Parts: sequence; structure tokens; C-alpha cells
Amino acid sequence: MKKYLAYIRCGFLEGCAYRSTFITGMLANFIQAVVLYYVWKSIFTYQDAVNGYTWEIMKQYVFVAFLCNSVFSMGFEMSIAERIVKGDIILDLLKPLSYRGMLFFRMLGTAGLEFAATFVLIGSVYLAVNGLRYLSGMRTVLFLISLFLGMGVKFCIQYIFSLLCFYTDNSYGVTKAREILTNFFSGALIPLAMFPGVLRDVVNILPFQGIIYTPCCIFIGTFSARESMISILLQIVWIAVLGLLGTLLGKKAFGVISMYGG
Amino acid sequence: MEMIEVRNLKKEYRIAKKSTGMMGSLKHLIMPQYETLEAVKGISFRINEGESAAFLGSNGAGKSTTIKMLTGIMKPSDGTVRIMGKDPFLNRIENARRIGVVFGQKSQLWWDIPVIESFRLLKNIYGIPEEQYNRNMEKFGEILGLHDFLSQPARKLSLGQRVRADLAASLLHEPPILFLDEPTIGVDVAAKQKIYEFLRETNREKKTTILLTSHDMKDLESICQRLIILEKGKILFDDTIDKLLKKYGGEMSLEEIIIRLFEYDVLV
Repeated sequence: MKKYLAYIRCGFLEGCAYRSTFITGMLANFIQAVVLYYVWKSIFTYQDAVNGYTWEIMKQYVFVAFLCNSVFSMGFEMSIAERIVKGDIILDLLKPLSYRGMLFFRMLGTAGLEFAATFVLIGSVYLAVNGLRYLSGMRTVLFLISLFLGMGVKFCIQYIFSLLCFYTDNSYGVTKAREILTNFFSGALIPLAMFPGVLRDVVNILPFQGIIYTPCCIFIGTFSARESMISILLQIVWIAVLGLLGTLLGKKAFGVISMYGG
Repeated sequence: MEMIEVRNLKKEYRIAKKSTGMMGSLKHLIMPQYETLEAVKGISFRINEGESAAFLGSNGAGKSTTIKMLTGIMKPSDGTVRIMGKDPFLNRIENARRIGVVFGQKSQLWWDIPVIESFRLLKNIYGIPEEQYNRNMEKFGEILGLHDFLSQPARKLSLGQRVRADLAASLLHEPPILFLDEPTIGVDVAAKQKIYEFLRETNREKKTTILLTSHDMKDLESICQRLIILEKGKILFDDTIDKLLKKYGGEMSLEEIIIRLFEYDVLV
């Protein structure tokens, strides 16, 4: 275990290495959150509720969803994919540890910094807009558990998509495809409850909702205590299923490593 | 003891067959065609504990491919590889603990963080005891001259500095087997001497088995006793360097022999 924890440290240091990238990234995040807030605000000026969602709920949802989406954001996945395409992945495979475990802890280290900063920034904005009146201790604890599990689900999905880069050179395309899928089906942009009938059913049987929608609903309180527990259980099931899928796909993918020359 | 055993090892690559021009690219998009390329065509050899052997061959002879299969990161198409009695591809993690690898073209150092952090990470990954880590860092630092740039991130190192740091990184856990794929790329003459000395000492003191590929004859003569010449995926010669020199009556230098060899493709 100690060897994996060492990767958190290096991941963290790596995240710190580019101060200006980090600061501009934060700024971009902030602007995006504010824009999203005003878009929803204008929608709710013409309509009191959309599929049961009121402005009261929405102005919490916007910020919580944004916080959830900021963990394991795009940069990492691109770099993994690039390592595969360039062949640098062989250096990772020469280490006596699980490749996936190494990735997870490394990303955890890098994401830690980004997440902490987003937490402070978006958290203050949330409090400025909503105040303390919606907060509940119990729900916050469940939210943190669910948020962590959501990271697990997201990581499993990213891992599977990054393995696709063993078969194609287009790492950018793979990353973008994954990003669009997760953003849309996880509830990062639109709360899943607003989806029309059939689409709502489809989303229910997909793993993506565990990344953002589940922790968000738990925090805001649109899920009852029982619903929250079931959703958390569902997240664990998805991590197991996707984890297994990743293992199987990994076995196949590592068999096709064929970098000619170099 | 036999450290490396290779029997009838083969590797085939499937490469895209594209015709030139726009039409060719379009054709490939709709109906991709592939051809098989045999990079390694059934080679066999054994390397014993404490031996230092060199792979020599012209570009594309299959040297790097063979090293990649020996280190367990690439699956052979056919044949068997045993590293200390075990299949390296099936026992990747166990195998990784027992080998050290340097790819001169690539670096295992972390690009954006100080070199020393990469070493600290290796200490944790391999579970190297504090005492051994300090001793090795001291020794490697002195011989390879690492002290000047340990606090710099890898991206700021020169090629030669980077290769030296990579070499130290691969030996920190004192592996019984060391694979070196073109380890002296971009290294100046003085530093090369240091690397030779360092490797000879490691080979002698720790009985580390070394397998090296290089295009630099000086590398081969300075580090290795045994020479395995690969050409077009087959072994042309496998014996001591002295024997090869004797075969040519001792008149030609190793370099001249090799040039002739690559030109005529056979041992004359």
C-alpha cells in the first residue's frame, strides 16, 4: 500500500508544478459556474418549475454539480492516452505494481489540489447565494461518501476509455467522446430529472448518474434517506462491474502492445 | 544459474499497408489492408548469472523488440522466454521486481518534478530499505555525477544528464538482471567512461547480469564479453568478442568487422 501512497505525493507535486496553468484553470472554472448559474436563472424567470425542479433547488444544484464534475477532470485522461500512443506506457508497465492502481493514486494526488481549490471557491459562492439554510449534517456525510464513490465510477469509465487508445491513435477523439458522454448522462449540465420519459429510463440503467447526479441529489435533499442509500449501493455495484470490465479489457489490450522501433 | 533463457522466440507485427497519395489514404480508410512483418524470427539463446552480453544489429534487426519481450511488457507471437525460470509476460509484476531497465530513448523520470522525487518514489515502489537507498544514492551520485541536478525537474536536464539519472534509477533496487537499450545516447565521452566503469563494477561486485543493445562499438567492447549479432530477426553470431576478432585474424577492428557484416549479411 505504501508504494501506491507514494504516487499520491508525486501526483500532487506534479499538479503543483504548473502554477499558472492551475490558476487559469481555476478562473475558467469559476466563470463557467457563474455562466451556468445565469443561464438557469433566465430559464426560471419564464417558468416556475421544470419537471419538479424549482429555482430554489436549481441554484444549489448548479454549484454542487460543478464541484462534483471538477474531480478527475479532463487533463489526466489525455496524458494517459498520450503515453499509450507514444509508447511511454511501457515504462509504467515495468514497475512492480498494478497499472490501474498506480493511475488511480497518481490522479488522486493531482486531483486533490484541484478539488480542494474548487471546493473553497465554489463552496464560498454556494454559501453567498444560498446561505446555510439548506445544509444538513447527515446529508453532507452521505454526500461526501457518494462523491468519493462517484470518483471511483468516473475513474473506471476513464480507464476503460483510455484502454481504447491501444487500438486507435486518436486519443483526443476518445477523450472528447468520453467527456461528452459523461457530461450529458451524469447530470453535469442538466439534472437528470428534467430528461423526458424514455431518455430518463435509459439514463437510469447507465452508470454515469453515479458521478454527479447521485451525490448532488443526496446533498440537496431531493433524494429521501432510503433513496440515498440505494443510490450509494448502486454506485458500489457499478464500480464492481466497471472495474471487472476494465480488468478484462486490460488483459486484452496489454496483449496488443506493439510499438515498432524505438 | 541461468538468468535468461530464450527458445525459438518470434514476434510478428501487423502493420498497415497504405499506398501513397490521397487516393491511397482514402482506400485505406474504407478498406484497410495489413501485412505481417516478422521482426524476430525464432531466436534462441541463454545467458548465465553474472554474464554481460550485447545485442548488436543494424536498424530494425529486432533488438529492441527482443528486449521488450524479455522485460515482460510485450507478448511474444511464439516461443518461450524465461527470466530466472519464469515467464515474464505472465508474471509481469514479479518479474519487474527482479529487473532494471533503461531505454535510452525514453525516461522513467517524472517530467515536471525534481529528479530526487522520482528516486524517492522508486524507493517506495520497490520497498528499498533506508540504509540501502542512502548507500546507493551516495555511490551512484558520486560515480555518475548526479548531485548537481537532483533538485531540478527532469525537463530541465540535458540528454546526457537524463540518461545518467535514468541509469541510477534502474539500479536503485539492485536488480539481478539489467537490460540496457542504447544507454549512452547523447552522453559525452567523459561521462561515457564513468558509465562503463560503473556498469563493470556493478557486474563484478553484485554479479548483475547485463544485456545491452547499442550502436556504439565502444559500449560493447567496454562492458561486454559476449556478443550476439542479430540481423533481420535472426542470430548471425553468438560468442565472445575475442572469438570474433580472432576469426578475422586480428587484423580488423570490431567496427570494421561489423560494417562488413552488415554489408554482406553473412559471416565471411
